[in-house]
Amino acid sequence: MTELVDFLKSSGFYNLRWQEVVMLAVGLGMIYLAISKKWEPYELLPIGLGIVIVNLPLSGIATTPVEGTGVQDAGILGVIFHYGLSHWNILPPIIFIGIGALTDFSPLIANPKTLLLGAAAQVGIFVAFWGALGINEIDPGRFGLGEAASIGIIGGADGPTTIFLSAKLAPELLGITAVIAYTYMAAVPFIQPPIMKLLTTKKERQIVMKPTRAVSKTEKLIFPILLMIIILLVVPMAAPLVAMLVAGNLFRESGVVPRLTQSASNELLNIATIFLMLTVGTQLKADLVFSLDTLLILALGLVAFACGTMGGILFAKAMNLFSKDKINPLIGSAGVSAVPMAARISHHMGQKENPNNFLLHHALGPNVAGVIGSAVVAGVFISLIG
Amino acid sequence: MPESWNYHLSQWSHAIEETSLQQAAITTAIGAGTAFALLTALLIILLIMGFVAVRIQRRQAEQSAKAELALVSADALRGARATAAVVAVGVLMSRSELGGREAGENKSDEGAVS
Repeated sequence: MTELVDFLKSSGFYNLRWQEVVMLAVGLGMIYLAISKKWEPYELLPIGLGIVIVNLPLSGIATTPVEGTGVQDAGILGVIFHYGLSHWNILPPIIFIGIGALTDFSPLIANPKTLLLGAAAQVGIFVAFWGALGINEIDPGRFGLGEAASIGIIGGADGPTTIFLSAKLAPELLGITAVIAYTYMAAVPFIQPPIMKLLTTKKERQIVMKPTRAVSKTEKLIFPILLMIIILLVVPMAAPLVAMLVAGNLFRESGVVPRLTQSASNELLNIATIFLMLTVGTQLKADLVFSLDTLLILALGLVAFACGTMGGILFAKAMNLFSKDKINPLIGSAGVSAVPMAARISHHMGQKENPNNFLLHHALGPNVAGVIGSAVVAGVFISLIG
Repeated sequence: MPESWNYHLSQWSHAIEETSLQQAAITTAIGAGTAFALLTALLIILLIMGFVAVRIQRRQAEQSAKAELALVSADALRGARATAAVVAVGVLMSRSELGGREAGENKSDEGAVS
């Protein structure tokens, strides 16, 4: 009888608390959204699954190997988290190789002005950074500089960059910042359009931009190399992200290593995504989520996204005051990264006003610039705070 | 806890806050400044690169247009020569035909005489 009681006590059912039940519902909700609504399925599906797995009590699958842990005491996802993120932090840079292999810099090279839109959209990062620090005024000691930077980088709307920075500066916030970043990236179609409409006039939304020039292969080869050299000379801490991005892009543009391009943009990216997203999901344990911190980060993340969108649009409008060739301010919102979703939103908003307006190619410029900008800001945060 | 300790503690925590605020301000200034400066530097590089690329493309286009023109003019010359040759041959042949006919006529005249 005692054995039976002991067995029942060691079961998940006996140890299940209401917080875990809620988290199971959250995880299942994410899986539902990924499958049924196709919301960022490559991220939300494994993250949701990770949440479900980690909130089933006593599974131990996310137990990390710390000193003193017995042989085989650590769980598979804990080991991947430990070596892939918290110890070596290699998974986000690996993802960046894949992103580089999928990135086309032509829209940026053809219309370099859009780089400034990518820079302007980074304002969201700093607004959220200061917002997190401002909370300390009400509740002293809640968020340190590292935590504030991890929260701020959500505004960069770049999942791997958020994870990379959080793993370095605030590992305890890694799960929550990553999930919030990906959730808001999935929610870009709902967050951005009202802001875009609010800040632009109908006439501005109807602006048809001049077609861009053709970009030569030489330019496509020179630009990423120059980009890497310049950024790494100024912000060496951005190397893991920027260098990997450029490596993947050179594979693609050189045209001489099709197998590497194929591997980087498919197999490598997919394997890293599986590991990264599952382990990020496992960081969302009920104990961590049910706290005021989570709600505050949720609010600050939204502020960061909104301010980034505003920054890009307002800067585009400001550029139009001095520029001969007008820019449709809708492409400014794509500066927040969220590749390629934010660019698509700009395109759709433009087409609603003028069905003959094709903004997608133009919006990819600030979109890619946003990725570079957020990686630079992450590098600066690590240099100064890490 | 003595009053003086409390005072020192409050001063210390205040100092920490001041320091972190200062660091936050510096981080923001450097972070935003660096991102903007780097992207502006890349913008300038891209503008220069674009200027050079457009010039090279234009030059290449001009050169290929010239080459095409030269080819066309060479073709035209060859064509004109060929036409001239055909005309010349035609003229010569018609002359020789005419000469032959005249010679025949003369022969028949001769025969009639003989």
